[in-house]
Amino acid sequence: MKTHKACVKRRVIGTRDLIKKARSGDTEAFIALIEANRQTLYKVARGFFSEPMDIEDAISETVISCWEHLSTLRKPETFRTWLTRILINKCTDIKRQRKNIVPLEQLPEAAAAVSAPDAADFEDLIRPLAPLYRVVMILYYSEGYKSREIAEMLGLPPGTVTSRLKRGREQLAGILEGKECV
Amino acid sequence: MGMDEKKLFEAFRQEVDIPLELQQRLGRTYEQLRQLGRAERESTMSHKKVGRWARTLLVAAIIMSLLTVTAFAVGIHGGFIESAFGKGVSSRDGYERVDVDPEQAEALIGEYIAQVGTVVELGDLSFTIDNAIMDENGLACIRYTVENPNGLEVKDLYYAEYGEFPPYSVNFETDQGQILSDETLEDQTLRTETRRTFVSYITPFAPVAAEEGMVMEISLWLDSESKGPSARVNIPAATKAEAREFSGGDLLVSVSPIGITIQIADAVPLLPQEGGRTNPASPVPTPDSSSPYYELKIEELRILYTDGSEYVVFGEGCYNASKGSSHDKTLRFVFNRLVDTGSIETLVINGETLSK
Repeated sequence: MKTHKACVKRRVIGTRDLIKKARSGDTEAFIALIEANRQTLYKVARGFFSEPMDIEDAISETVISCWEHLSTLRKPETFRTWLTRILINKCTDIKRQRKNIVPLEQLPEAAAAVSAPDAADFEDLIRPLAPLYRVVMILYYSEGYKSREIAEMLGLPPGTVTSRLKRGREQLAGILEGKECV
Repeated sequence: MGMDEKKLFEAFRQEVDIPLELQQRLGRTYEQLRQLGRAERESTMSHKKVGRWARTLLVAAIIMSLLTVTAFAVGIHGGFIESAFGKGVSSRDGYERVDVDPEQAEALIGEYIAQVGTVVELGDLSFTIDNAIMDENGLACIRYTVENPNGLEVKDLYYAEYGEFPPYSVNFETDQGQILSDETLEDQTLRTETRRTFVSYITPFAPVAAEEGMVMEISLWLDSESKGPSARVNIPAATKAEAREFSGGDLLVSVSPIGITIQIADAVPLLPQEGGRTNPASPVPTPDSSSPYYELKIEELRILYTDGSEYVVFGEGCYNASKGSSHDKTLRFVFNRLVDTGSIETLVINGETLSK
């Protein structure tokens, strides 16, 4: 196969370019950024809530807030972390507002809590986890953050994050042993 | 035996299907952003294209709007009413704000509006709590401004990165210590570089006594977990807006000019999953009300007036109220417009007609 030195390279539009466009008012670029982080948004919000409406509220409010405050993002390469932090604080605020209401997560979760059938494996992992460990486990194993980063995001001492990870693993010990990963 | 770390990483990182309802909700949010983006671009374009004639017209329009604003602001409460129940707060997808007649509004709620006027200074920020209104069921609405003469970048706890500009938080409770739920929206028509104006729509979780007032706690945050200086502002119980009672089926409803309290009769037991957020778009189906237990989800709430008009509070794709609160068989919402309770013919809630 011949190659041409002057060939036109296909330019992949990365996060940095999308943020630059979004900052100049390009809503489609911003939407592309959000879509690229949809899995993160859903999994982290799911770590906080079982009620689909709470997950939707938290994510929707996070998206609007991020659009409004995109100019405050200092380093484009930290967009995902920045987005996740805003989501965590939105989730915390929603939970705070419902302080005096019996939290659904303390009740046995209904089997139909999540309507997406292919999410069963992820749901199998997080459903048996106590709420206290769920978000920490998701941030660590799904999103790849270090314990110290998670501590900062959640406003917890690093030791607390470590012990919650340990207890979360213990809770899941029996579940994964009988399961094959694809 | 230890858990296989690699297995855990693989399992958690599997891609999940995003629920259809969430995709639809995201779609609506994106539409909202597109509208915002179009509005911003049109505003920029109109500035660039203004020629001499257009400039003259623009000046004339500004003068006219200023005159209109001045006339409207003659009423001492005009600004508060416009922010809280008029178009000061913007409409958005499924949430419609309407014009408010200042004279009618003054006649309806003028006597219930408390002039607070308290100023709190924390750090570089100055908070002015200007007006408040409360009804006899404890629903309330408060307007306040946040100012920084050096320029205001309002970053609350959500946006500040660790160690950055100190953010603030605002919480409400009754003066007897009951924590109150609130939804706070900005009146963007009053935004300047040094000041922002907010309206908080407040609902209790339990009944509030007639003489109970409110306390607004404002706190600066040094980082995500360390609270800095804070202040508590008493908002005394002024004359509370009266409510009218309606009943039908298993529901007892109390409607004031600013909000609604919906109670399920004591005789009706609830499902163990009591409470939670109620929203007409909720995908959770409402159980059959003839079953021994049922949980109330408001899918339809309409206020029908004697003149044939109606206020659709909740309907398909429509949510014209604050987020509200739900506890102990009672749901509470603050309206996004004023209601003349004397002109209500009936209410319709989930197909049930309620009358006085």
